[in-house]
Amino acid sequence: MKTQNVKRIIFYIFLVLLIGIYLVPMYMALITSLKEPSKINLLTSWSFPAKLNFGSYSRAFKLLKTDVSNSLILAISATVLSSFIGSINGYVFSKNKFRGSEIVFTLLLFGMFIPYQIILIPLFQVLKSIGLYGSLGGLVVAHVIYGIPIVTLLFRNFYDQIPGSIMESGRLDGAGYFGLYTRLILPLSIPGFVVVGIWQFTQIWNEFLWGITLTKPSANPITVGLSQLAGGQAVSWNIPMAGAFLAALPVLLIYIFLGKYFIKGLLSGSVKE
Amino acid sequence: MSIYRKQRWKPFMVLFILPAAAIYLIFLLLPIVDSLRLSFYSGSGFIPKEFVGLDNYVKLFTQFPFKQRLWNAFRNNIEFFLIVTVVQNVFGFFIAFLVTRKILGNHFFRKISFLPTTLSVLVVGFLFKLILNPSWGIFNKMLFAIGLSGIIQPWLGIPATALPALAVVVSWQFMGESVLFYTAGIDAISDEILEAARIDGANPFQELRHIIVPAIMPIIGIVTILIFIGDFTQFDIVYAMATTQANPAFATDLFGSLFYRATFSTPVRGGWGMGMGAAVSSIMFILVFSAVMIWLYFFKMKGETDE
Repeated sequence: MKTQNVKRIIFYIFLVLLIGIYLVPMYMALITSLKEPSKINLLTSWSFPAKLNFGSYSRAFKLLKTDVSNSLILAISATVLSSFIGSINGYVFSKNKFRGSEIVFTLLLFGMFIPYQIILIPLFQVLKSIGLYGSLGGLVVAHVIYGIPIVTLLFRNFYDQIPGSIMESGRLDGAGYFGLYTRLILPLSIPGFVVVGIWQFTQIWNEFLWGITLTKPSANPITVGLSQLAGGQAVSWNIPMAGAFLAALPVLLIYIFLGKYFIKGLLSGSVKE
Repeated sequence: MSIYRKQRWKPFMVLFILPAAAIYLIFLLLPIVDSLRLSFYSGSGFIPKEFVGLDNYVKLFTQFPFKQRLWNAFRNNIEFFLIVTVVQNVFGFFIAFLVTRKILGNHFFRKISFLPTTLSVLVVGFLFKLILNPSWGIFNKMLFAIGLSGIIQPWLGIPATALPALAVVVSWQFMGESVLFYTAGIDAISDEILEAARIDGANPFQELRHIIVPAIMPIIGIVTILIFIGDFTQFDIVYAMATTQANPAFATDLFGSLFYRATFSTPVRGGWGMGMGAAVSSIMFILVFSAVMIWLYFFKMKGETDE
């Protein structure tokens, strides 16, 4: 009994330490963002500010307004588009296997392992030649295309769980290929859309390399805006930290309220296959 | 049943999947071939000028400063990958082992540990720049408080410590992912097996060695290959914490930052032109692709012997 208690205490010490390692950096960012610039110094770097200064947030928001709205437009439209593409592809690969479909599917999955860098230069040139370089539209196109492998995989795994008997009964009712999809599969797909949507939204929201290389300033996403706010030798840290919180806010909210689905996406995308 | 279905639906299916397949081919596979092609061309800006054969690669592997930058990035990337792999696998497994015990608060910790993974690398990078700030960051202050003032230094300003610091930050961010995978692996071990082992008198270490570790071997593979892909394409953390110049003195330069500088920077800031950039990205592609192939090979071998 006694050793049991000792073990328990050791476990808890570790757990508390670990939680500290995770929460301290976030605490630091939060209090720094709420301080007056002159109050950020060695003596008081730990302490919670006596007077909360929300001014950093309004200033950061003003500076990042265009980038935030760009990122919202980008992430939402690319997520919606790629979810539908994924749903259709997943339907074919799961419920309508044809000769060679496994090979095509495997080839598709290789797309997940392709470094962003290898397609960047040609993508840059293609977008330039079709007049989409620098615009938000070009970035949407890039994310939709690069998302095809993962969304297809996620939807295929999801549709694999829908029993074939449902399909059979639908077929007996006279539903055609398209009818089966729109009347049977699509209504059952809502959890799949949630998982894929959250996954894609988060990935696109956080992406930086394409954002900085494929867009002009007027179409910069939030990550690029933040890098300009916080990059270089920033003198006052309160505004960059407030900006970092603004940039993190949507994904934090998603994770806090829909974390279950996010983790489902991650596990389904990597472990299963 | 399946044969019947295959024949009946075939023409429609092809139509259904054609748009995505075409897009995939045009925008994913062709660009790879095109990048490889461009790596055989010279030219400034983004217009390929003339075919130069293997010149770009020869330059990259033999001439100053290209050779030095390339090997520097290669060495740094290996070191970075090794640090992240050790930290994330060892601590990730240890934490997963801890939170799969039936103790209060483990679910809260699982949730917390995964939080940074959802954030942008850029946000995390700036966060740690704040913490490691040499004049008032709390990391040095903490070292001082626990009596380690002797090792205090400007961690990001010294070549020897800057790269490990970046690697630890990346490990911190993606630790939750390892914990998640290992937790899933440990949870999948049936309680009966563990129960049986305990009845046979196995202590926790024997339990760990003979039951848990063998069961999570494939997970070590998954976690490691994901780290490899992430690290050999990593760019954001260098940009956020060490700028595109990979300060100090290229000590934090990885393939990702080398590619960015070579392709998009002006010659003064380390730009080498598009052809050289394409050559760097081709090397990255070959590295990542080979790693995935090796992983698949071993993974498949394992699966076959298991069955």
